[in-house]
Amino acid sequence: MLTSVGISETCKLLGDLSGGLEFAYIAYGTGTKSEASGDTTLESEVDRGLATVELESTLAPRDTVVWYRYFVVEDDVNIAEVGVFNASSGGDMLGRKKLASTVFVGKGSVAYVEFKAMISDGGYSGGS
Amino acid sequence: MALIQWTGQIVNDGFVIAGQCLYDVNASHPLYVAYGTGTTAVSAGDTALENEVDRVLATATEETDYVAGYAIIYGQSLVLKASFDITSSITPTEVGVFDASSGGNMLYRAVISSGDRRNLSNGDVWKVEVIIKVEQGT
Repeated sequence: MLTSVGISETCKLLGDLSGGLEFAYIAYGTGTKSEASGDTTLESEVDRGLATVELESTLAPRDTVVWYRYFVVEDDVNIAEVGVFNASSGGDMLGRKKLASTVFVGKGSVAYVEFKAMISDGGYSGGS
Repeated sequence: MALIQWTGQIVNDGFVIAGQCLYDVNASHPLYVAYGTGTTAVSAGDTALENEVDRVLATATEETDYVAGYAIIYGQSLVLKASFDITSSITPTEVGVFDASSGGNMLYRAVISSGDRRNLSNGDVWKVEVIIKVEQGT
């Protein structure tokens, strides 16, 4: 789910407005609370890192942004949530996804974490 | 003067522009508004106006619950305001948003319905607003 802060930040980024900062980081955590538009952080963040970002095709060519990263897990963890941010710590959270079921990753393993945002149509315009 | 409204479409190239703006510091931003005289219906594969006449750099603002004439666009929107100095008699029929002052990539195109078209003359100033509402999808 996109957050309210993420939507506002998206407006700034589209319009090249002051305060807009690109979303380059992905994080995972262990929080199991459902997503809400008012979320500003993961419920219980464990690790965050610079993401690789690509465009892939879902309903139209290259209409979906995919953030992903391979994390080396330092302790056993049950990954339950993923988020995308515009800073290496703190910052604004574009969106948060609670996984349908938690994923156990053992210490020393590598976890592949991704977040997708599909862009679709909708708009109004006018003139006088 | 009355505000007229129409709906257009984010075209396929627009999804790419918008997506890149989310993560790429070198992305180009859709800040240019153009009008033209084409009347062919909008298609997702459109990459340009059918017959572009003029293009200007718009003023971009983020708005909350933006009042556009009789409509309120609830939530957060990016509003692009453009002003065109008309130099000869013309009836604009299409509007587009681009990421460059010429050429470039088109984010959005709208064809103005026949009942909402304005017959403009030399000396007129035609003001256009394009409202890009950002919201959670389904």
